[in-house]
Amino acid sequence: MKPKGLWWKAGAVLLMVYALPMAWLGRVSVQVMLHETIRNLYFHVTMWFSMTALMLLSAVWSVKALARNSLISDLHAASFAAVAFVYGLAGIVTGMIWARFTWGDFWTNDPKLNGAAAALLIYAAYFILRSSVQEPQKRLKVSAVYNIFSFIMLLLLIGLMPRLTRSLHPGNGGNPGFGNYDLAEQMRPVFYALILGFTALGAWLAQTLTRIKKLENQSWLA
Amino acid sequence: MKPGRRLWILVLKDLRAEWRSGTSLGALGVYSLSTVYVCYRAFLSLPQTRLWVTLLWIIMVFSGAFMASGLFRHEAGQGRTFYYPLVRPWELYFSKIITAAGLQSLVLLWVFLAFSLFFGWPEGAAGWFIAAYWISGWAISSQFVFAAAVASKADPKGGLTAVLGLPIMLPALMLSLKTGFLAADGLTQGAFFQYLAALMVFCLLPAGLGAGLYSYLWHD
Repeated sequence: MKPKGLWWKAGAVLLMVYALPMAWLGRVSVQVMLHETIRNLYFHVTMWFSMTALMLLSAVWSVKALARNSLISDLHAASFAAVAFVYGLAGIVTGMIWARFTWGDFWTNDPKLNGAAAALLIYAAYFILRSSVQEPQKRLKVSAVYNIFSFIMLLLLIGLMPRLTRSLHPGNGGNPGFGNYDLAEQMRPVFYALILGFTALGAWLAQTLTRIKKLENQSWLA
Repeated sequence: MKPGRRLWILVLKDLRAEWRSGTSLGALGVYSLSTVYVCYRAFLSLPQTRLWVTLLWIIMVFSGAFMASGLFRHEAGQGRTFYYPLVRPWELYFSKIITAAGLQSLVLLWVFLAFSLFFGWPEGAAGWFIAAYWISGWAISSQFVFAAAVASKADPKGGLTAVLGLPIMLPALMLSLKTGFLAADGLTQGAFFQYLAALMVFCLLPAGLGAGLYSYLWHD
């Protein structure tokens, strides 16, 4: 039997095999102040893109769970949220290291940082909510509704808040974005490959998590 | 019966129930007053405007969470089966939004009076400060109503309201603080009105979204 979803998993592996060595060893643009830390673009920025994509997928599974009253979809939503949460933590840690070397401090008062912290808190609350309800059907409804609501609030947070405030981040509040003229042409393919690769890897992880949960909960899923 | 009238009856019923039971309103008053008093004993005075506004908001937010946590207690248990044939879920949800806005206004007034009594007024704060404070309070209460609706399903006592509500209302709270700082310094131009407009979005969007999603929570 041909395994399902092989093409995108193979794609994820191929992208990572190409992009990870390139991220460490490939040519990067030379910038004042940033120097070699610009390589963190490959690990920090990609984490946020992939996290947002995984959160979107989690919200989509929650919509499915509500519409079809499907417990499996609810498990998928929880797994995607869990992986997105780990990506968010990784994004914060990589960002903190980068901030230490370029802005001089691990944490600065920046709307993007506050947004990231709020996003992680929202998903932490989502997991607390899930763990507080034992009955699967009830947990499906409660957590799916919370997940959809908080994802839309998160979009508002990402879309609206940075436009209202100044930020140290590139591409905000008058700062030029990396993409405009800083990003060396050789960096682009590596960067995009890593976004796709990390997202696919995250989806793969989430799928595996769901399978483990299915095995654990065979009694009520059957 | 017209939907508008049903909404009105539900709001009146909730407000009347709050008034008659007395415990939740009284508890809310004592809770917020004693918090302000503890802060007064700790700080004695708040010379910095930023500190004044921030402390006011921290107390406000926790009083708001306290207020919202009891909103759905009558609908949490078997009592809700009584509503099924009578009202639609969005009507019930909007009635809670309106009730919460009313109760929140009382809380806002109460905390504000207590605060002004113990700490006085920051220089430069005037009418716009109060307007911003009220609009922010409503934005926050409309998000707490959603948190309370979800929390009442998970735990009928509503104990999860603050845990679920605080993360989703963080952006609105940040905006409230910024608007408060600007208004307290008398800087009520350009950016201030942008923030106020954004706060209105945070007021209305969660209300509409929550009303749409509430129907899924309602029926078991």
